[in-house]
Amino acid sequence: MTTKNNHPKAVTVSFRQCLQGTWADRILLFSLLLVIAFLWLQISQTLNQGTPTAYIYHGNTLLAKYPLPDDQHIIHVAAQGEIGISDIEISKNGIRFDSSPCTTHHCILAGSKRYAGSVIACVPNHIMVVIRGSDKENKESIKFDAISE
Amino acid sequence: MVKQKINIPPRPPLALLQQQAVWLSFVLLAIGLHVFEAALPSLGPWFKFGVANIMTLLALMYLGARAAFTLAIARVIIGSMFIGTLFTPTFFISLTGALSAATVMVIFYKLIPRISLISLSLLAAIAHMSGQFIAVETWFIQQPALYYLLPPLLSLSCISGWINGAIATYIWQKLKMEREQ
Repeated sequence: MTTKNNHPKAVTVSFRQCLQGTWADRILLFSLLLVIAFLWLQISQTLNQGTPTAYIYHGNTLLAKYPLPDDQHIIHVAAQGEIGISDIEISKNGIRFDSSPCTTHHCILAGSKRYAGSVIACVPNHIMVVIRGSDKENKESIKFDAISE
Repeated sequence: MVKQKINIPPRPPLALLQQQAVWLSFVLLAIGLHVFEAALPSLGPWFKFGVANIMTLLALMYLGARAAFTLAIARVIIGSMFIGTLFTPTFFISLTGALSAATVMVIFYKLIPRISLISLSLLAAIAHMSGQFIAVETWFIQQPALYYLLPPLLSLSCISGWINGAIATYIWQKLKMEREQ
């Protein structure tokens, strides 16, 4: 089929057809998801060992390590980072950034995290908190939470 | 009266000017998308849909590898100026992600010339996210624990990569039709 100018007629494809992709695309997607699922399983197995504990890092330095309290006890940790002090609260509800010197405050907005694998990071202040270990109630849990500026 | 000889530089060929105009329009669109995306509420900190990568993909298809790279760099620098993140950690993370994505796109496009835009976009999305994590781990928080977040974010990247690839395919079809007419 040709147009008036003897060019082959362009085939119009709808967006829906484009969205379906080819078999090669589907195989690639499936393979990628398989690799990601394997990675996820590996990480969750590593994280779920031991009692739930909060680790606070500044860069590559471990600043503090606290088991999550079972009672009403609340611990406040002042973590000195690159641009100031981040106040981190650890309670039975989990761990959260109470205050931070960063401008965007994504770390504070991330809220409280309590499951194994939860990570909150304040990139400008180079502070990161991680929860490792799990109790019986949340043994299967590995939750994506937030990494913040 | 002494006649002065003026050396007028030869005019650049029209095809080159057209290419430059197309590149510029792609850059402007990419910057617009970059700024627009920054204004949108994100699904989670660090996760963005990466719609600006559509323009990198189209630049690669339409103009070639060099244009794709320069577009990725220009988009991040100028876009960051607009959103006020130039030379902040966000800027460096964004630049690393954009360059990783462009590199992967170019490599796979050269290796497999018949690769579809969806596959390219999927691979670029994975590279973008992985590149960002490597940048954070190298420059800001030197903790391998950071990678705990990688699998869920990579899963989201697969979805966004697929959709962006489909959009790029649709636009590319239209552009090809325009070219043929």
